[in-house]
Amino acid sequence: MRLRVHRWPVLALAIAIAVVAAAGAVASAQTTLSEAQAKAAFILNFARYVEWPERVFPTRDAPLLICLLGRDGLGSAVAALESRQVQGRAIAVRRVASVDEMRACQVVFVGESEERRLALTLRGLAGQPILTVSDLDGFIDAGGAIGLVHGDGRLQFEVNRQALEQAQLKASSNLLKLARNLADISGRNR
Amino acid sequence: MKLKPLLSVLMRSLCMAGMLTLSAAASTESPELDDMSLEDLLNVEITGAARKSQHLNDVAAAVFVISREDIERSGATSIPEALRLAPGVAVARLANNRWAVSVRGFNSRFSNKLLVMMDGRSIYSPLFSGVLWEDNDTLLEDIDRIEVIRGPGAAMWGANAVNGVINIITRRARDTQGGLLVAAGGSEERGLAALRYGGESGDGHFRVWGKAFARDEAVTPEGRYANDYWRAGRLGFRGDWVMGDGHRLTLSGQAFSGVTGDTWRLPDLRSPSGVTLSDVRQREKGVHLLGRDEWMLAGGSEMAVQAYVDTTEIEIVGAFRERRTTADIDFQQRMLLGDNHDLIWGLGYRYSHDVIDSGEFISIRPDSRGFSLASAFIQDEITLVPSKLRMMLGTRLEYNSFTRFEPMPNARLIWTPTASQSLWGSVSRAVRTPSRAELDAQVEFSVLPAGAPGNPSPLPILIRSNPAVKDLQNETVVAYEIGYRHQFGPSLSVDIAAFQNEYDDLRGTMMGGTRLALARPPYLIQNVFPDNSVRARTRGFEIAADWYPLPWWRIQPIYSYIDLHAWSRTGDSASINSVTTVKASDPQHQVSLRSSMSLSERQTFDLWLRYVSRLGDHGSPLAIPAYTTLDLRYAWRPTRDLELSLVGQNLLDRQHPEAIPTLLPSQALEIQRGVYVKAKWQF
Repeated sequence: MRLRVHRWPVLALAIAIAVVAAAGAVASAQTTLSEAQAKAAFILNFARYVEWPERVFPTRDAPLLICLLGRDGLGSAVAALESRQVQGRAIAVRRVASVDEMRACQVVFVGESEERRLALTLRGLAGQPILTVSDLDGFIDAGGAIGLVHGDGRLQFEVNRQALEQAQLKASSNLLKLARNLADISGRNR
Repeated sequence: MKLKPLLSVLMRSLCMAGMLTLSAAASTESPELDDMSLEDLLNVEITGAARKSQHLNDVAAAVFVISREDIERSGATSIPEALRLAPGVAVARLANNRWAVSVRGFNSRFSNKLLVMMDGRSIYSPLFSGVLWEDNDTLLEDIDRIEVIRGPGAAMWGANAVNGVINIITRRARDTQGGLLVAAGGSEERGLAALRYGGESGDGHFRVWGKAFARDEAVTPEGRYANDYWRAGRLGFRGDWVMGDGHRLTLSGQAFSGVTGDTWRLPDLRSPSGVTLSDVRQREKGVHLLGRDEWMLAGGSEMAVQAYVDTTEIEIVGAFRERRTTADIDFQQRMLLGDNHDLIWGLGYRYSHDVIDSGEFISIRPDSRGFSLASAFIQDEITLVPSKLRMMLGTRLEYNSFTRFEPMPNARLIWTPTASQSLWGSVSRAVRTPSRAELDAQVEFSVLPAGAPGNPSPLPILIRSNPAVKDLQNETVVAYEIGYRHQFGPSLSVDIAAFQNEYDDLRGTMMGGTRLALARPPYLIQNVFPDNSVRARTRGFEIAADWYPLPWWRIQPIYSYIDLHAWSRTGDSASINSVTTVKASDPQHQVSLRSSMSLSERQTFDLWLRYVSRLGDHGSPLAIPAYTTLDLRYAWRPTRDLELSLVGQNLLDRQHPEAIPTLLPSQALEIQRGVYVKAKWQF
């Protein structure tokens, strides 16, 4: 063992710092959410800021359907959005497994487990009025509409305008302005 | 942001962390979540162990991902230091410019059973069969993540991925836009400066960067400054483009130059101790260029082609110089067949050519040699029960100039009974090909003075290590692994992996003849030759947990255990010596405990405690006592774009040794406590 005289004062100091720091941290409350909650909240906001062609809703009071594809760990956080109101419609949440099931959805969240099938899935949804969202790496490059990405310990998002146009979806300028990839350089590190 | 929602969000997060489960009921009680606007959300700090483990839940191998944030908050200033964050990895700092890094055993400066790739480019040296960490670096802020895969990865990644694969992946150029300036200085990190700029170019993005640093020397056991200085500079770029036809192009490159110091204990027939200390200077420089194209075919299958050229020069002034050029091209296709098959196959070809000037102490003949490596692999991931049970079968066939064809198969099975649990197992075989040095080097290894232990003769004995007389075989391993992962709600995940590896034909040595050299003074030459006389078996496990006791506080305990049993097949005394070296190379127990606190939106405090058990038997020349060490980091962001941090490293003692150098006769050195400050400015 290499116990040296110098070691204990330093350790004591370290513990003291840690305790003070912890106390300070409790005092300085800050906004934190679990990642799943934050992602669910983003999905809700995307649904607010995107306009679907009216024909996608079979009736005037048909719900806005958010679908989850694959395994993603967002299940309960997104399920909590159920029956919230967006654009005058109630939200319904459903798990889906195939492209056919997704045709009725307005939003499809593609889970991490779908990375291997991503290309096929997006191809299957091409041209449909469906907003695709995912936290998969390189999602918008692969043709997805909105990608959630990590940066600075926060979540940010990137928008693929071409994909939105092809899906006949209108995105509000606020959404586009806040997208990391579309923001001007000065606003980049938000 | 208003105070009330802020507090209630915090309270709710606290409750959730306590319950460890996220229930839908709790969420409906809190209307503030959907009151948050996009602007609010973009400012919310994200916590949760979910992301990493979610992704990993699907992998039938022992994988650990070190994220950019982990690297930054660890205070590590080099890639090998950052690798200490992963379970199952042994990192021993031999000096301030040299490391020994291995996964699951057999650690040494030239750890030859670990394959390391940086953005798809192998940085494993075919000369030494290992990674010269002093030559391989990048801007740490550019690293997106480091994937550490324990266990054989040969079926996917090729030969020499015997005990593990490390993939260092840099960020896309799109994620590094704008400017970045980093400056740091301190007692051990004397000075570091880095500059990066990223911009747009056509349909894509690029970045260019440069960094330079100088590092202080370590000390000898007696506390005297050693000669292990390190100064290096590096320039690099990366560009990523998405073409109109769906092709995704990446082009990246680097040029570097560095100088490191060392002191060698050179064998000396005239010295009473048999050695003279000699300061040596190592110069290294190199350039590489890599291009990759990824695209999709009409049927939905994904294709990728990657090629790189890498040229390096390493010179130990007066002793040795290697100039090496490697060209590599790889092709890969991934396709889904029916509902149940996910098939990847690929082809690769590499040619590597060297020119070596060598002198007395190390002599490598012939002085120029080229070798080719051609490989083909196929791996099928079969879904047996949708979203529950999958099987992976794969194999790689590799042909190389030295040892011809080698099959490297593996079979894996993963069962995911629920979205938060997975259980996996695997059986695989991998090989390590002989290195150029093992095949062709003659090294004046050491001198036993007359009358020294082991030398009863009246003459000094020079021990000379020679090139192999008969063909060296590949080292082989058959590995059995099993692992379990569980995500307990949003704030705790646990990952356990256990293994048993059976090695055969490991590189050992055998005694050759002795002859009398009629010089003045006369001496005896004892020849030794490399052979494949060593066998070994390792057993061990790693446990890694990731826990958020509070939303702003993350704790990551890791424990790694390995039991290495090695024996000689021949009983030759040199072979038994090789076994002793192997047995002394790894700590049996390693513990790492990290605490990361986000004190406020602008302040973070990190603590990292590590314990490494002893190496070698008590009293053996390879013995290193167990050590415990502590790193602390405090960072403050006075503005959104500026971060100042204070880092203390190895705080618990003034100096400690981490390993005894083997193979090259470097002096054994000790690592000192260090403190540095760093500023990072984004503009």
